[in-house]
Amino acid sequence: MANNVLSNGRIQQQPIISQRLTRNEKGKKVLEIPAIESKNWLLHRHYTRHEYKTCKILIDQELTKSNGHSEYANYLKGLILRREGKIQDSLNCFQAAYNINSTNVNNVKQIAKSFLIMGSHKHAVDIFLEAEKILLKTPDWEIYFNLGECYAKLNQLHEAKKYLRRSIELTKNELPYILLSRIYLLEDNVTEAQNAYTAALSENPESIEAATELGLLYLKIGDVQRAFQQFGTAIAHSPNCTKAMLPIAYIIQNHQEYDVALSKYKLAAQSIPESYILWNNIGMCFYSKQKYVAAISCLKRAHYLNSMAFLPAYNLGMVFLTTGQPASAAIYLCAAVSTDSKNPMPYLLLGLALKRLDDLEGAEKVLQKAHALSPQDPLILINYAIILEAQGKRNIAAEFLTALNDITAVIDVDSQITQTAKKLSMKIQLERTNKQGEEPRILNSDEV
Amino acid sequence: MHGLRADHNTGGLGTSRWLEALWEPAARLYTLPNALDMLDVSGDGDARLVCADLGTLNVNSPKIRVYKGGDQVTEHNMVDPPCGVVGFYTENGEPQSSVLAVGVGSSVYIFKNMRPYFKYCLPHIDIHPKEREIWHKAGLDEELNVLTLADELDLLLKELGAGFISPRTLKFLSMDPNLRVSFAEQYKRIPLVKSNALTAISVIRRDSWNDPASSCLVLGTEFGEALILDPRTFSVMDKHLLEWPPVAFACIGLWTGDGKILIVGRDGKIGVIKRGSPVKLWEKLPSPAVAVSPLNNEGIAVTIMDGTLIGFSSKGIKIWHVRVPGAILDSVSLPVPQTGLSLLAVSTAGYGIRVYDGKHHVDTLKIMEPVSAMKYGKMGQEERTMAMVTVGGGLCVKILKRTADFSIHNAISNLPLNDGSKFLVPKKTRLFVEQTIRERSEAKKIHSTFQQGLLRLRLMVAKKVVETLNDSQGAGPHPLTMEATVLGLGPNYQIRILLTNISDELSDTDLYIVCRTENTNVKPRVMDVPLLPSGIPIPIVLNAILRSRISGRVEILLCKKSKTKPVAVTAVILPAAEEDIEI
Repeated sequence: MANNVLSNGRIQQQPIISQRLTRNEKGKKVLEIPAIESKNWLLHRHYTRHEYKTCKILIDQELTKSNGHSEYANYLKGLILRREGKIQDSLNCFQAAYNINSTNVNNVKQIAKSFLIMGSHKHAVDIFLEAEKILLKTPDWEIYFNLGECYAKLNQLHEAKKYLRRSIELTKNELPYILLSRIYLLEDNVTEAQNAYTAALSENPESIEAATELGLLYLKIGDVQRAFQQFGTAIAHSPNCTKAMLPIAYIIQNHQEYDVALSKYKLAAQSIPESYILWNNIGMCFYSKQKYVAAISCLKRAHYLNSMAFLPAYNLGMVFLTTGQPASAAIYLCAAVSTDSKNPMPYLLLGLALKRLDDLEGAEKVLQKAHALSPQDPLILINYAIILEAQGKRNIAAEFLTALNDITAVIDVDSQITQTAKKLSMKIQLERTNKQGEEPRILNSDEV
Repeated sequence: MHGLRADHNTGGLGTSRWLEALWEPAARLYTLPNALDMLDVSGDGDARLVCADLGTLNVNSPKIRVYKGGDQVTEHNMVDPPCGVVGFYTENGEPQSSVLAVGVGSSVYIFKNMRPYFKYCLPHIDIHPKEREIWHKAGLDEELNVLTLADELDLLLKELGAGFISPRTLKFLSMDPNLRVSFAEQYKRIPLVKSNALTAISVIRRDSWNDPASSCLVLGTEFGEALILDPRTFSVMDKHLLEWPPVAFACIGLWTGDGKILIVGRDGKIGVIKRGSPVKLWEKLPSPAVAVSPLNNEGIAVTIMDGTLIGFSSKGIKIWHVRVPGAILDSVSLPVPQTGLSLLAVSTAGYGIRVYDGKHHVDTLKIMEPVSAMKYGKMGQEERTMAMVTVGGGLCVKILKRTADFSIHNAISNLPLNDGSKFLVPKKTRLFVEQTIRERSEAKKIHSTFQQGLLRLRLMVAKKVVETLNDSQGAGPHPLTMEATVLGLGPNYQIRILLTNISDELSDTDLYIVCRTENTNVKPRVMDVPLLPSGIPIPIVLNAILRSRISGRVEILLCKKSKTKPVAVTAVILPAAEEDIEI
């Protein structure tokens, strides 16, 4: 039958027998049944405007009217249910849409994506591969990207990289580049990761995610200058980007420009007031400016926000030691020790705190642990020696001083330590009793 | 008529750039983007506002309403909700040639002077030959067998999937079997069709830049075509196959010249068509588009669902993007040819209508409710009118002042909000300071008190743990009873213990009996208990000898190995023995 665009949608009626037979009925007009898809535009319109409630009412109307045979209504219902977190229900919707039209690759992709979200990556891989088969002629970067994602989750990094590279060939989108870089980082392949990030940035100069992650990578390998540049570009594109704001403030803080760093933190505090890292860093800024009360209150907030974190506890201990509150210091340092039992520094500080609390026995034990963890650290050696000497174990103390001397020959040691060591050894040599060696002031990291 | 006044415009931007013309909160319009246009319907030089009202969500009573100023002039009922209305001219330079096109379902109704003039029907979709064959055969049958017809169609539905079956078949199959006969009789002799559905409607100028100029209708269909209709004959000039349903068009230039039509799809596909060349796809949008609008510098602005406004060059290169607060409801371009500006108005939920010049936010229109649909153009005699329909159904009209100046790219909006809210470092109280002082002087005492308290706490916790551990060791899943009787005259007694397993299964292993004695020797003092079958009393015999002449006591404990608490305890008294009777 002629069904061309010129006939204005009317089909040329052919004089078939049946029509001749029913001539008497001709005057009666029978309503044309409207297309099932006739309201898809309305559903989609409400969906894009985030009017999900209205959209769901309309979808249900469409589904009852079409007896569940509306592909787009099912598909859209799936999308909305996924937004509401009902993944299994949304998967059922996508499957219904797939049963209606198995040639639409979007249905297949969404089914696979549901599996990906639910964590059954193997299943997702199979279905994505099926989707890829449907789209043989016009390959889709998203499918390859998702395949890469699945393989990365399955820890098949080689396969993951293969698919991500294929995805990159097809798109300029930053996502596959960033995932590829992360996989390279997992493999400790810093140069390749760096290349991938740079490629992502050259295609998407405004990509904040790529810029900040590249910045963090530079920071990790110690290239502060370039890291600073990356964070700078990220902030230029998005002035309130906290992901770049924190590290840039950290770099500034490390350059001892505490007021500048503080002003950055203030900006960041507006969007992430519950970040313990932020409050930890603010606290250390105040500490460096010797505003101890402010430092303590900020660090306490950080500790409150995450009491399992190492840094706020450790830093609090350090600040309390500085302000002459060894009892409080000891409590927070104990917390620091229990969160990171492999780090010698909190043991050392705890030893100092205990010594001030006249718990020499405890101090000795703690320093023994610190020494076991880091036998070469001059700070630990000198303090251990002092405590041993105070307990009257002069011979062992002298041994540690010799060890310290040996180390002084190899690396540069703070002059304060060497002087104290000299004093102490003189004291031991003279076999004089009971005068405490002055302990060195601990200059310590305001690490992030 | 001019009832309420909307509080309008923002502070900080000087006096308002907009004049209040109309605010009719009770207009009760349910209007979506693209369903609003301004057209000189009668050719008398007075442009009217035409608006498609979808009625309510549940009752479908869509209407086309024509407004003159704030008054409704006419209304026209529609069968199905219109997906868009557009007004255009069919002839160059003839204001009388204005027509209104309303896209409904699978047809476009053309109104001339607000009277039905023409109905354009979309071409039908090809039907699968098998389905056609089945219905054709049914049409030839005098005595129609509905059951066979249903079976055949059902089989076909399973084979092809519902997406490739005509709505007639689907309706037939979903009907109650009793109603099928009349339905089939009614339809079997009518040619089987599968109608297409309209998704979007727009216009593009045909060949002239002068106003009024004849324009071509641009139609998008559910089955992935874009059709361009001739303005005079309403027949298809050009047809482009997209393979995905378009949702919106942005038309630039003259179609017979180098004009092009930008098309966005439901899943974020975006592409451009030109006359005679197939669709050229751009990089896919990160999320579905809400609206697309042309800007006068050949660029295109796209608002997308995740709240971003993206500017594209005419070649499809992403030039800039801005985040827009709140959900985007609609966007429309505001050409201001006098100043050479091309502004874009973005309607948001909760943040008013934000006006952008490129990526710079230059103005905000505050309306009482979020605006659902808007249109900027000539209304009445006024060239620079913005008509808006709010989500609550109100109708609002504002006029852009001739003196409005958008040239100040106010840098304020670009800078981060400095000191917007005061930065609060937590303060410390006097108590804190006093405690600090005390700690400095009495650190040792505080420390030892703390340590003592801590140790006590730990001890208490340990005790409680032991207690609860013991408490929880009850009889276990297999309860036992134990009876003990004393036999004999003394001083040598026999203690007979009857153990009964009252559960249905075998008893636990590792059970044993211990006797705690007073003034008595018991042999054996400890005894393993054999495995006890269910329900049968098992006797165990112990020998007890009193140590002296006073009575003794034996406590019998039934215990389980590795548990500290006995499973059952019972006690027996051994009476003092009589004096030996001498014989």
